[in-house]
Amino acid sequence: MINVFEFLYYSLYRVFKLVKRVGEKDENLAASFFSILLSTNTGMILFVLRYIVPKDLFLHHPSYNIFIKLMYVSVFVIWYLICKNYFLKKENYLRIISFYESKYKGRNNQMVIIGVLYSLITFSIFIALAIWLSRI
Amino acid sequence: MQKAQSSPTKEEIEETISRPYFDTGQDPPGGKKKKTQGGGGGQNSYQSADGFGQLFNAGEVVYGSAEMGIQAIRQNNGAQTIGRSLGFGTQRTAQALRGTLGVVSKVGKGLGIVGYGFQFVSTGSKFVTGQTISTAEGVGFGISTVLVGAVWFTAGTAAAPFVAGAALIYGAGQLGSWIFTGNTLEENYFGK
Repeated sequence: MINVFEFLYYSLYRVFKLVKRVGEKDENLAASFFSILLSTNTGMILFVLRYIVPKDLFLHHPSYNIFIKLMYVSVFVIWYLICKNYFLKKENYLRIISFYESKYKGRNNQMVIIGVLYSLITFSIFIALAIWLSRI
Repeated sequence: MQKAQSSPTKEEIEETISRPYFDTGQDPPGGKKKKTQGGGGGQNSYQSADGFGQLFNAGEVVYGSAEMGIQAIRQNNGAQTIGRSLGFGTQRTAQALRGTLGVVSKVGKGLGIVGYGFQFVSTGSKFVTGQTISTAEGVGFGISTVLVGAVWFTAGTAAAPFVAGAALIYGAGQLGSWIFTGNTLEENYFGK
């Protein structure tokens, strides 16, 4: 699992590495963007609550609506802190980047495609699933 | 003869009390009302009535303005020009302004990510509480996502001011639409 986590971070890093930047670090951008994607992935998993929680709960107890919102906010904040701590503060990005650079030497384009596809699929599935399932 | 209005029964009173405050219990003209289970926020909780959603637009405006200011300083040899126009005649003043704009840009970007978070939270919570996600909301989410992605991808590059310009226009449009009509741009176009 941790390998997938690190591999996806590396693929996003390769996407950000495509362009030369001034005053911004690719590893920082990749870490913060990865937290957005992970939050969106987790948000999709939380969709099952719609089918688990009794429907009348939200009608008779509006405060549960706020509880659900807070839950989504906390998902966002937790992933942001995890990514910042794991990749940047602990400086794991150095190990991950050097490991995958040697493992996938000369296959940068494939990494970029994986990173772009992961981003596109995450956002589009989230909103498409929300719209489609909410109308069933 | 008009029928005298009878006092409500115990069941009717209980039903009224348990109903959320925004729900009148009557069908709107033109058809049956869609049943929703969301409390608190109601159908408009996503963007139009939710001030939190507008934080994103405010963030885009702040970020866009700051990035464009930085670019203007870079292009017009702003260090000297601004220093002179401010009357202090020093390069240090312009450098300080550039530094301030850099901070403002970062704050704007931060607001942008918080704003995206709120949109994500609104969509997710609305779905979980059993409400319908409209096309306008989907389109709004899509545009916001593309903008956030573009802001991240072009950060620190020569393309950043162009994305900032787009973010500024979109953010200002959304804020203006929200202030004057109470709806988002997408809601005005696609309907609620």
